[in-house]
Amino acid sequence: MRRRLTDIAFRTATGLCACVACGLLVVIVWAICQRGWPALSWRFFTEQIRLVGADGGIFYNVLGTGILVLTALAVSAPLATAIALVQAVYLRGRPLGAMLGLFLQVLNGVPSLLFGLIGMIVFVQALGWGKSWLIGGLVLGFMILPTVCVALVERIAALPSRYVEAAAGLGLRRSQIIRSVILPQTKGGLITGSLLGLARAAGETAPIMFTATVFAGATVPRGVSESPVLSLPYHIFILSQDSFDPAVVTKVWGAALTLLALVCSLSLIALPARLKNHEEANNV
Amino acid sequence: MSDSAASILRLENVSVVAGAKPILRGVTLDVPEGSVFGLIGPSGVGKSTLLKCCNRLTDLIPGLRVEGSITFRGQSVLGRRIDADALRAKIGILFQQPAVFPRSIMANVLFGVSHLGSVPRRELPMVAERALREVALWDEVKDRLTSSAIYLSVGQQQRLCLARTLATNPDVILMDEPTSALDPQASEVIEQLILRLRGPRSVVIVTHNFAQARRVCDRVARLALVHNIGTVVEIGNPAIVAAATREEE
Amino acid sequence: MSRWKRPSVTLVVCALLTLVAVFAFMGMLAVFVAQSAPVWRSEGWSFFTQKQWFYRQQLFGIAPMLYGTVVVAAVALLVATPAGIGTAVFASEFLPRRARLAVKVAIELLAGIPSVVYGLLGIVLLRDWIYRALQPFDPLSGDTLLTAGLLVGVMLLPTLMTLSDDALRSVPASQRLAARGLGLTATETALRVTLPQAWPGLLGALLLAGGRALGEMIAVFLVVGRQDNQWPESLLSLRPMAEAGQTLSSKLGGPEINIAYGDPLHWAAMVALGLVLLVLVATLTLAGTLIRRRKPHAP
Repeated sequence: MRRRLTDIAFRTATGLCACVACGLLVVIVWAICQRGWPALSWRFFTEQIRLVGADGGIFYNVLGTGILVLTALAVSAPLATAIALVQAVYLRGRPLGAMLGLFLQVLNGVPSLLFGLIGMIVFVQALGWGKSWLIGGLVLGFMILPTVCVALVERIAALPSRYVEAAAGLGLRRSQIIRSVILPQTKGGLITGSLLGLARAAGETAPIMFTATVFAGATVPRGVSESPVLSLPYHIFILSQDSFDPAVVTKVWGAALTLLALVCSLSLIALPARLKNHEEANNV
Repeated sequence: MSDSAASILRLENVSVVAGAKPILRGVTLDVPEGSVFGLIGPSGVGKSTLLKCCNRLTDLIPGLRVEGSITFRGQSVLGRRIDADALRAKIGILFQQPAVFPRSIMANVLFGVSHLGSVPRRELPMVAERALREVALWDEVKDRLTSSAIYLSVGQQQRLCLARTLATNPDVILMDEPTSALDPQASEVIEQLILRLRGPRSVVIVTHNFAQARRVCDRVARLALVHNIGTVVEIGNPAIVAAATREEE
Repeated sequence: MSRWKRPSVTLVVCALLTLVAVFAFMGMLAVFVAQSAPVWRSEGWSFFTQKQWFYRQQLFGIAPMLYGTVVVAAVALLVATPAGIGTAVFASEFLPRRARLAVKVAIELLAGIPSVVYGLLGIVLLRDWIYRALQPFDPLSGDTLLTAGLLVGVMLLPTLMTLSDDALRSVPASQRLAARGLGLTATETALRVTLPQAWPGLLGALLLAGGRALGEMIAVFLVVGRQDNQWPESLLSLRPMAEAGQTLSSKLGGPEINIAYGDPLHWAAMVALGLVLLVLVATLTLAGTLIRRRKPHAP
């Protein structure tokens, strides 16, 4: 009897934890939707910011975030592919490959703020570019490198060895096997990883606040140096600090809802593949 | 029938459905108390599933539904109100692959019984010794009871698992192909243990090895696929059932 | 025996790009060390122990910031650990597969919410709640170390849950089945079989989550109050929880960095904050990753 009661108590306690976690999601999403929904309109997405956020829309903020995120993709995709191939193919099973994996894990843990700081020191100050979308893209691209890379490495490791063996049996060289077998078979991993990375990059404020983005006064960048962009996260960050004007408050929740929708849709697209990988890795 | 009066496990019209797919249909059989009862048949016929029905381990497999009636000492096994955990302490199970816990040999033997609370704490060492002697492992491990169990050979690990089950003092032991992961010598040891268990305990053993069934079983039930659903097609003396099967093939 | 083979273009390109990434990271470390050198020379170890930071007087001590960082991270872990591990245990031990996946999807979405959105929620909702809840302690505002810690705790929940779930799932199903076959309840199986075998993974999860807690900036920045030089009367006192504070990351993310550029020593001190943060987080991450890699010792 005592054992049964313990069992029920433990189930209830852990179940409550799960309810709290899932309830948090509901509460958060509800809080944002409820407050942000009234702000959403056609004008909100097509107009530029006016009256320090109290009027107008977030067109250039969305555009800026798009520019930053796509630049980050262009930076991270080739680097991640190269690192993944080196780690999972050329250095497979060697200590150096494991070290590379460890390096990626540590890189993944580095606070995003520090990426912003280094971007500021090197590009904004030492190279004298000033704030620029390109720095933001570079910094974000570097930041999401581990995410993209790990997804690709997992996919390469899960590739049935018979594909590779069949290709090797035909006399293909390793570089040919990579191009004709491994990369085509694992591009799903690159896409999944990139989507997750982009979701992360789109929501980050710390790496771009010193390097790439301003609150107002920027539209479409026309060059590299001294050409910052607006961005959604920084917009929210600044407005949330002096959110006493009700008009501003509505707008900032609208922006938060937009950002949330953007990030969630990116990670939802990547979700099925990601869950499948995880379940298979633990052979459930 | 005098036979049924002394049966310890009785299955009547047991069917198992996984999702929408029937796996077993209309299984009826009696396990006489103190006997070794074999379940034989080709792989994929549902022998292991049938075995796991007997102590409700099927509960742990999502989507599996068991219908019909199973009684243990005349008491229903399948009811919702039955304490399946207490039931499993009375109907133990030995798996194909020995699953020892990464702990000491002693901790492994006492793992089940120390939770059941049926034995006073100071008597536990005696229980462990008795169980280990029962599986003929005592002499091999008595000097290293505190060292990790994972360094034992597979055959020793399987005997340790049997000792772990015996320590909880079950009336019935279910065995799911207990020797198929072992080499011939280790298999023989296990077979001899099964013969020794007979009497005070009852054993239900799944095997695909007819020779083994003939050596250890008092009765066997042969399962086969009928319309792609497993069912019992024959029950009887192991020598006759096995011979009949051979002729059929 | 074999003649030297010309390396393929693919290999050369891959190796070069990998080296670029590795050297960029090393370069980052080198820049931090080089740029922060002046403050190490002038302050030495007292950089860590000094309780005052007044850049106009050239006083650079980060002890209060270290304190704030540790308190925020500790509160966050204290909140997130039971909830995160509890959720993971419930999902992996008690839920059927489908329901488990549903929980995981919810948690992944929670993980995807940007920190600035958490910050906004913290400013608008959490700050007021805390202010009301702390009334008996007479706080100056809702911007406190406790607020920041709770907010970061919520942010850590998905990380902890996902990593713990991985750790629990890596315990073979046969171990659970063996325990259940002996008549143990699901709870006893979880407490005596699964959790003991998963502890390296769980500890690793805690360390990684701790690393994230130290480095989180945006959300902390918005609700921590950013009050410099808050040193508690006693290290064990809970009073500072109800007061504003400063963490390494909130200091570094603040506007002071733009002022600092003109003064070499001040600038060096700011970069040194970054270096300290980097070393702390990298150590935790490295330790967490290495511990997590130890697979449970099971057949």
